[in-house]
Amino acid sequence: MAEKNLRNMEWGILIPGLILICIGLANLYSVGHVPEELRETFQMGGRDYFHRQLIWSAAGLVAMIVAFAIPFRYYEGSAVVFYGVSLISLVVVLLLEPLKGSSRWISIGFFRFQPSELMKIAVIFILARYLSEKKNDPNRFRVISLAILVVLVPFTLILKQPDLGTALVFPALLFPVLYWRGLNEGVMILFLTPAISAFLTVYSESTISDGTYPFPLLVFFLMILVVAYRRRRRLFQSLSLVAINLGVMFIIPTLMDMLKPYQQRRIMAFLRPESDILGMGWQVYQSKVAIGSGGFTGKGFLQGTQKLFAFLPERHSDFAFSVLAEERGFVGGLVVLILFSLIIARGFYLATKVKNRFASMAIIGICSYFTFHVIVNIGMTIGLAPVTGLPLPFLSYGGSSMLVSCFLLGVLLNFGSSFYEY
Amino acid sequence: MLLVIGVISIMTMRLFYLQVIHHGYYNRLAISNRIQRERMVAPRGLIRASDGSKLVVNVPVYQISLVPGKITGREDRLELACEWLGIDSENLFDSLAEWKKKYPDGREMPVVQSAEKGQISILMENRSLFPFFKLVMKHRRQYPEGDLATHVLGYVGEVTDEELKDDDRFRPGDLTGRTGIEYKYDEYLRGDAGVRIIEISAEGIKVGEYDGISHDNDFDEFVQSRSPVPGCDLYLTIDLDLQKVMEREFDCDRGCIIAMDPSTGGILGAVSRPSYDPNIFMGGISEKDWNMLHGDPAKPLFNRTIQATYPPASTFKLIVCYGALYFELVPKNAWLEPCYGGYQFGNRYFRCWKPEGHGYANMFDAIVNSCDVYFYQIGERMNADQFAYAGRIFGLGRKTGVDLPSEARGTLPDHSYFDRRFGKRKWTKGHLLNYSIGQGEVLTTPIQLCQMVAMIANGGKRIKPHLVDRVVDTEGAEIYRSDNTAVPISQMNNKILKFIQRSMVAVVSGEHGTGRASRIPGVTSAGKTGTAQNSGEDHALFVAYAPVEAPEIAVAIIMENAGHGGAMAAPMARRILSAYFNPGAAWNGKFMYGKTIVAGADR
Repeated sequence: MAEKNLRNMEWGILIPGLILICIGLANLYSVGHVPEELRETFQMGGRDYFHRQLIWSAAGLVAMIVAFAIPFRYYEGSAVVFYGVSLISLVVVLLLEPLKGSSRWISIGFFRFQPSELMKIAVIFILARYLSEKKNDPNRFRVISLAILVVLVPFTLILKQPDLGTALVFPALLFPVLYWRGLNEGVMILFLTPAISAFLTVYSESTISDGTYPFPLLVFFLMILVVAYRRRRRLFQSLSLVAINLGVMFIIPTLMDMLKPYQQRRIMAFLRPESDILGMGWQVYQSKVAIGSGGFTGKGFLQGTQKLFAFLPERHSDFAFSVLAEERGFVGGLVVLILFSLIIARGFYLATKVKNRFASMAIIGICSYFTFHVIVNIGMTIGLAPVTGLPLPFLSYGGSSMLVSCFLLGVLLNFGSSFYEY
Repeated sequence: MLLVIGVISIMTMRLFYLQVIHHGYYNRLAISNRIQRERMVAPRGLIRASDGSKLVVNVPVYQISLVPGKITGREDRLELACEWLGIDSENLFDSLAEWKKKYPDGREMPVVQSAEKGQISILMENRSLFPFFKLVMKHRRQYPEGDLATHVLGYVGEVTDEELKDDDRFRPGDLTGRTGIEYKYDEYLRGDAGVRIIEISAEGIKVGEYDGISHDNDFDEFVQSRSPVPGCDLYLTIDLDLQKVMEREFDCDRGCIIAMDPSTGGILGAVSRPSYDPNIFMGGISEKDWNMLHGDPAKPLFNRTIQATYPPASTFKLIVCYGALYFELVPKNAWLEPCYGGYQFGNRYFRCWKPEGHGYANMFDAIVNSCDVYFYQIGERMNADQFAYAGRIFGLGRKTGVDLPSEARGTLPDHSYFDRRFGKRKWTKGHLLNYSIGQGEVLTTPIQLCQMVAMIANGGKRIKPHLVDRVVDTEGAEIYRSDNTAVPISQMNNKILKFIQRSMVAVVSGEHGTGRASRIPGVTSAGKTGTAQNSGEDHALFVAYAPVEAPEIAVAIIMENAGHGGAMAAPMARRILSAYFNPGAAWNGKFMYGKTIVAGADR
C-alpha cells in the first residue's frame, strides 16, 4: 500500500462535488429565507434547514476525507461484514415503532439515520467484491442468481418499510455492475424489458381509460420485435424475449384488476401524477410551475415566490432542485446537471482507468448511484419521472443522504488516486 | 455511458422546454398562484328624509362562511371550531351536506350572518388552524328610525343565481333592492365595487397588497387596484316629523295613509298597515319567515298606498260633481228630487246612507252632507264616458307613475269597459247609479285619491307624485332631481274647481258637514268623507287638503273595515293635520273637539 498521492487527486470529481455542496447550502439558505417584512406572516421557526445542513455538510466533508484516507483494499475486505451489519439494521428498523407511518429511521440519541442509505454503500461494495472474483462469471446461472439475491433481500426489506423509491435504487445499482462485468447482452435485455413492459402496460391502461391510444407500448413492442429478429440466431432467447414481454402485457392488467381500487389509484398516481392533481400531482404541478416560472435566468437568489409562499411542497428536500431552478433559472439548472454529469463521466472514465477490478466495479456502482438519484429526482421535479422520495445528492436536505453521497465521493477520489494499483 | 448522456440531455431539453419555451405560461401560473383579486364591495347609498336625517344606513358586519373544499381531512378541527364559536356542529354538518348537494361548485356557505366580536377574534387568531372558515366584511342595511315607512323604503336581499347570470357586475353575496325605493333606485344606490390585488400564501394567508402586475403587459387579465365607489344618497320627499306622526296615529290594523305636497307631487308621508320588520330580510330570509309573511291574509308585504284598490265611495262624488257641471247635466243651484232616505229607480230601490233622508238639496248641499239620492239622480243623467272623462282629468284609472314598483292601476269604467265586462246592452243605468256614489266597478288606489285631492287643491294642475327628491353622489353633486313642476291642464274648468273647493271646505267646517271631525283650529281645511261598502265591514275613507288658501298638504286615509269615514277617518285626519301644522305641540287626543262631535258625525 503506497502513500496517497495528492498529485493523482481527481480534481474533476472533487471540485464539482464541492461546488454542488455549496450550491446546495445556498439553496437551502434561500428556502429558509423570509424577507424582513413578511416575518410575521410566515413564522418559519424550527425550520432552520440551512444551519443544520451546514453541520451535515461539515460531517460530510469529514466522511469524504475518511473515505479518501482508508486504504482501498479495506473496502474489499470489510464488504461482507458491512453488508451483514446493514442487513441487521434494516431488520431492526422494521421491528421498531413506525414514524410517520413508515419505519425508515433508527434513532441513536440525537442522531437519526436511515439504514437504507447505509445499505446502498454496502450493496455497491459487496457486488463489486463478489463479481470482481475471476471465477464468478455473471453469465453463469449460479452467479447471477446470487447477485440478484444479494440485491433482492434489501430490496424486499425496504419495500416493506414501505419505501418504493429507495428500494428501486438497488436493481439500478445491480444491472450496470453486471453489465460492466460482462453480462450477456441478451440476458440483460431479457431482464430489463419485462420491467419496462410492465411499466408501459400499466401506464397505457390508465391512458386508455382517458381515451388515448397506447402508443408508447406499441412502439416498445415493435422495438422488442426488431431486437428479437436481429438476434434470430439465438432462437430460444429471441422467442422467450417476445413471449415474456407479451406475457407481462397480458398478465399485468389482470393483476391490476385483482388489486383493490385504492391500491390501483395509488399505482396510477405514482406513474401518472397528473391524474391525481390534488395529491401527488399537486407537488409535481407546483414544481413545474416553479421551474417554468424561473425562465432562462431565474427570478434571482432569495426571490422565488413558489417557495416563499409555500406553494412548493417538500421544497427543502425532494423538491430542492425546483427552488434552485426557480431562482436561478435554466442556467442554474443546467449548471447543476453539468456538474453531476462531470462527476459521473469522470467516474466512468475512472472505471476504465483503474487497474483493480474491485475498484472498477465499485466505481460503476457509485456512478450508478449518482446517476439514478439525479435522474429520478430531477426527472420528478420536471414531470418526467414518478414521485418517489429519492433525494438529490448534495442539494436535498438530509443527513443520511449527505453523508452517503460525500462518502461515496470520497471513495471515488480514493480509487482514482490509487488507480495504478492492482 | 451513452444511455446516461442520452437521459441527461433529455432532461436538459425538458428543462429548456419548461423554462425557456413555456416560461410565460408557467410564470403566469406562478403569479396566479399567489395573486388574488379581492373584491371590495361598495357601500350602498343612504336613504334620507327631506331634512337629511338618515332613514337607511349601512353597518359593517362580519360574515363567517365555510369553504367546503377546505374541510376534507379537517373535520375534527371543524368540530373544535364550532365548539369555540358556539355553533351547533351537528346542525352545521347537516346543513353543509345539504348545501353541497345544492351547490356542487363548492361555493362558500354562510354560517354566521353577523359575527360577534368574540367569534371574530377567535377566527383571526386561528386562521391557519381553521383555514376552512372565511371572514367576509359585509355591509348590512340598518334602519335608524325602526320600521318607519317600511313599505316605501323596501328591503334588500342577496342576489339570486339568475341575477348573477344576467348582470355581470354582481357577485354572490351582493345586495340588491327587492322592493320599494331600494328596488326602484338600485342603479343609483348600488355603487361600483372596487378591486384590490393581494398576494396570498399557499395557506391562504394574506401577505400584502401587490402592485407589480399592473405594469406588466403579460397580465392583462389582472386589472389595477381600484377603490370602490359608494352608492349615491337619496333624499326623499318624506317629511320625517309628519311620517312619525302618521306612524304613531294610524291605529288601524289594516289600511293606509298617504300625504302629498299638492304643489310638487312630493309624497310627504306614507303608511301602510300591517307592516313587517325589514330586518328579517337581512342575509336571506328564512323559509319560515317568508311563508309567514306571504301566507298572512292581511298581506303585510303589500304596500297598500299604491298596490291596493278600494272603491272610492263618496270621495268620488267630487269627480261626479265635476262631470255633471262640466257637461251641464244639472244647474249648480237647482234642487233635484228630495231625499227621503232612498231613491226608486225602475224596480230597484237605492238607499241613501242616511235612512231619515236629507230632504231637498242642491249640488253644494249634496256634497257637504254626502247625499246619495242626489247623486243617484245625476247618475241617471250622466253616461259612462262622462264619468270616465271626469275621473281621467283627475288622474284616476291609470298609474300615477310614482317611483315605486308594482303600482296598481285601479279601474275607471267607461262605456266600452261596461260592454266588455257585462256584454253589450247587458248592463243598465243601475250600474251607473252605483258608479255615481263611487261604488261598484270603480276602484282607486290611495295614491290616486291623494293625487286627485292634490289636483283639486292646486287648482287643477297635473303633478307627478314622487318619493325621491334628489340623488346626490359622494362628492355632493346632484345627479338627479325629481320633476316638481305642476302643469296646468287646459281643459280644466276652474269655475267648477272653485265650487268643488268651496264645498269641500264646507264638508269640514259646515254645520252639517260630514267631515266635521277633522276640523283643526287656526287652519282652514277642506275634505271629503267616504264609506266604502264591501263584503265585510265598511272601509272608512277621508281625503283632505289644507290650508285652503295656499295648500301645503293633501292626504288620503283609508281604514279597512273601520266603519264610517266621517266617524273614523276624519278624526285621524284631524290628528295628523294638527300635528303637521303645530309641530312640537303634543296631541293628547282632547285639546280641540270632544268625542261627542265625532260620534254625531256620520259620513
